[in-house]
Amino acid sequence: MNSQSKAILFVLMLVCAILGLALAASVVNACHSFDNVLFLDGAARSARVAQAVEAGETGLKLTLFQNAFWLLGLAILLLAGALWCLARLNKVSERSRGITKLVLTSYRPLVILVLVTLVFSCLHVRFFTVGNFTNILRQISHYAILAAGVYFAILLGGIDISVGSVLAFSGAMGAFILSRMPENSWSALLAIGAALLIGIGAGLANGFFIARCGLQPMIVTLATMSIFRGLTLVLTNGAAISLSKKMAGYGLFTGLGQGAVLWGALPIPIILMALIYALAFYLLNRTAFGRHMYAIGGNEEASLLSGINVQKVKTLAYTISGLLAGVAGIVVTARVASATPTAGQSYEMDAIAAVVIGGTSLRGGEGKVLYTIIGALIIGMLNNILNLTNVSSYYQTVVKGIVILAAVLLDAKSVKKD
Amino acid sequence: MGKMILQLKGIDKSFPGVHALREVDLNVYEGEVMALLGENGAGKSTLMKVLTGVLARDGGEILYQGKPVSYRNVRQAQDDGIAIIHQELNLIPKMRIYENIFLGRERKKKSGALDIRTMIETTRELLERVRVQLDPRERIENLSIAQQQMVEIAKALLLDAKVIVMDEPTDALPDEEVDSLFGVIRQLKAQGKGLIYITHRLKEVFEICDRATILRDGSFIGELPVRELNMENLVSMMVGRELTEQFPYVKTARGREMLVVKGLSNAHVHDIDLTLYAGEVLGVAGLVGSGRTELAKTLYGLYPWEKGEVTLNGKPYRAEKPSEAIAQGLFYMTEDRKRNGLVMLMDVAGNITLSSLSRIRKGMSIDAKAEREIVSDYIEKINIRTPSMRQRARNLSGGNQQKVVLSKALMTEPNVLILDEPTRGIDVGAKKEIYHLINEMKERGVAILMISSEMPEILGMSDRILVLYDGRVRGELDREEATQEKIMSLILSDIQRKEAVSV
Ligand SMILES: Nc1ncnc2c1ncn2[C@@H]1O[C@H](COP(=O)(O)OP(=O)(O)OP(=O)(O)O)[C@@H](O)[C@H]1O
Ligand SMILES: [Mg+2]
Repeated sequence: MNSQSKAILFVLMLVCAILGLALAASVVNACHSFDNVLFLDGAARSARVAQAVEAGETGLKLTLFQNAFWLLGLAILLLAGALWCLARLNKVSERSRGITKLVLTSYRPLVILVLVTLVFSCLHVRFFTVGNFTNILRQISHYAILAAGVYFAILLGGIDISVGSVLAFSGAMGAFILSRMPENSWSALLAIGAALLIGIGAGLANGFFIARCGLQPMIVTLATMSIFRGLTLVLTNGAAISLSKKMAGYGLFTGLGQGAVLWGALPIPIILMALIYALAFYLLNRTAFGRHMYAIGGNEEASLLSGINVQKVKTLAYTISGLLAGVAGIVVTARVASATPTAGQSYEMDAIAAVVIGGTSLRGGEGKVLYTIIGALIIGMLNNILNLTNVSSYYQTVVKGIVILAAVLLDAKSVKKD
Repeated sequence: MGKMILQLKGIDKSFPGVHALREVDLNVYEGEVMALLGENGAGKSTLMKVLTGVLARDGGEILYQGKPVSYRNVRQAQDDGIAIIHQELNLIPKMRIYENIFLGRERKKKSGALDIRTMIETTRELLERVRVQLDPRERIENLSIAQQQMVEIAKALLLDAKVIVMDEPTDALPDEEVDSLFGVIRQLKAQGKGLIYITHRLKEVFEICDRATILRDGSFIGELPVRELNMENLVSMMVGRELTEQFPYVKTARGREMLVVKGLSNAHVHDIDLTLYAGEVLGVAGLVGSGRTELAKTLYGLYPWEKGEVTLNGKPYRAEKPSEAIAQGLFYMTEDRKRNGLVMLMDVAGNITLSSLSRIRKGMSIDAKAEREIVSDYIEKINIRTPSMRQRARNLSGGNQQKVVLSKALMTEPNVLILDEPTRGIDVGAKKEIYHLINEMKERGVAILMISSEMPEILGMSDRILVLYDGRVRGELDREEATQEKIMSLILSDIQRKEAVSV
């Protein structure tokens, strides 16, 4: 095909894409201004239209709103047309194929995030608002902090499924200390310190068995998962430890979960999460330790022969994972001002899911830590939209499973092609 | 001249940033061996991947027995009679020979159960045809590389392949096993098979091939009958310029004692005594399994020591892991770059600096600018062909991967450098560049221990030669007195002695 027809295809694609997006955006916007949920059932919808007409409302917005379904269908058709052009273009143009491949492999989680945001914004009025996003971020901060730690383990080609239990135990220990020293004003710091130490200790233990004794990460962390869940039950005696305002360290401790800065607009857990990811990014991408992590994940034997202290790096990685579980323990306990023995249960699964949806290979050696937070965000947005649209929480679990499968499937496909 | 069975015409293939093949032609004739030659990264492996459907071609056509074909995967190509034996062998170590040969094509009885007896019998016949005596039930992991290759060839025979591609089959073979491979190749020729033979050991071209197709930088240079070729014009066609003298040995003044080993023993080596001087190359010769690599790995801290004393640069030396060896100034470059030399998922830059990250540190971070400068220096100096330093190691051609490993070794600036098969799978031009680098290091006073199975390399580059057999030092020869015969006789005398004892 000559360059002229390539240019035509390219322009056609751009036109389709822009028209499609513009149409979708204005329709969604029109629906928003009528305060309507797109997929509300028919009766409520027609009632809203009738109400608007009665109020003497006319004009473009109303027309758009009335014909929202058709117009959205048209927008989808246009976008599909753009995709079709892209596919044709990829068939005939080397460069276009290269770019598409790059976008779909290197930036896949971002692409998915954008798509998901677009679609979800169409599904509910209140989805695309600052308040809702703050809400989502605060909700995901719990398992996103865990996920940052789990990312270290997965990057090595390992896994850490003990983080949920470590979270519970360190949180419970914090609450325990607070409730035992109601008068001591240092108790909050002590509680925080103890929780972090428990995280570090748990991580060190995992690291010891995995790196020094050469045991399988899955088995080791399965065992420690059980151990720490058990210890939590022992410590709490099977019941929740509630924090009360009368305790001296209450304010400082719970502030870590409930507090906010910027006149309440920016919750502390989000700040913590951002800090942790910034730090993890720095560690993994700018330091020798990070290089060593990627190297060991990619080829352990070659790393050893290159003079990397493999055991040390591995131990450190699991320790980081434990430490972050400790941090998450504090945040979760502080948020609800109580430590329950079942806290953090199945959080490890959300954390692993976030890492996987973030495009990290379970084989180890490749991945981007910042995509993990995008993975967590996608899960969070999914939960959020299902809540907003009143889908039962039972289905939420099903949907989450399907999303994980889809993510892994994409990963497997791109590996095969590479 | 045999009939043409396979014809590739005007094959074109690009990767992002690399035009790997431009209008390349390749013909295969019945009963003949076609050599496919070219420098590292010339596109030989890529051409074969296009042929067998591993990669899709961008242009050109493939005619097989006169008909245009286009395979989508190796399986289709195999079913049609085109078998490929890859640079890296594709057998499953834990499985038995016959299971590997019949993998994906298992014979079944009517009942649906596996017909193990038939499979074993067929395997036995096939193994006889390639003249190896092996039990079909033997596990692959217990076979030598040469034997594994024979199994791959047997597999090709089972498929009744008419075209067999061998990508650097002698790359990892010791000299003495090359001959038996050649025996089998001659037999395949006699049966009228067409063979494509990729190699960097040009001597073999004259020994076993009938014609040669030469590629350079992805372009087709020519197809010539081997009898019209000699070493010089072949090399100049490959590299596009004249190359003089293959082994550019330089004599340097021997420095002080750099590495002194006394009575080193463990499970793999026994009573090793050796002295290595600054600014010399000590070649280590021996058969496969003679303990050469084991000696290197022992010094590198990969195997525990039982007895013995070592000093390095006058100081007592002991390493329990490679990081300790590197810290004391000793680096070992492994023989198997795929398995443990490189992190394939990492980019070129990451691999080169992997062992010396502490040298480019700025505070806690890696100094990205320093890294870029050093890496581009090496890429230029060693002539690594890669579109960028951010290319993953896995996407480089074999020879260029080897250069990356060598750069990693050089960057640690070692006092003692152990090279294990430093030019395996490397083209003539690059080989020479590597020899020049070895010389350069020699002149800077690095002490080099060079393990190699290529006799000419050992003879051509070493100042002294150490002969190992069965984990023991069997003798030492000076450059002037050393010949292939003398080395072999040192080894053989030992075998005879052993046989005399066992009789
Ligand atoms: N998957 C890939 N992605 C990007 N570039 C590639 C890929 N595979 C090969 N190349 C590039 O294509 C070129 C040809 O490589 P190829 O492996 O065919 O060389 P070769 O002739 O077999 O070399 P060698 O003798 O070293 O094995 C090289 O420059 C290589 O870097
Ligand atoms: Mg090759």
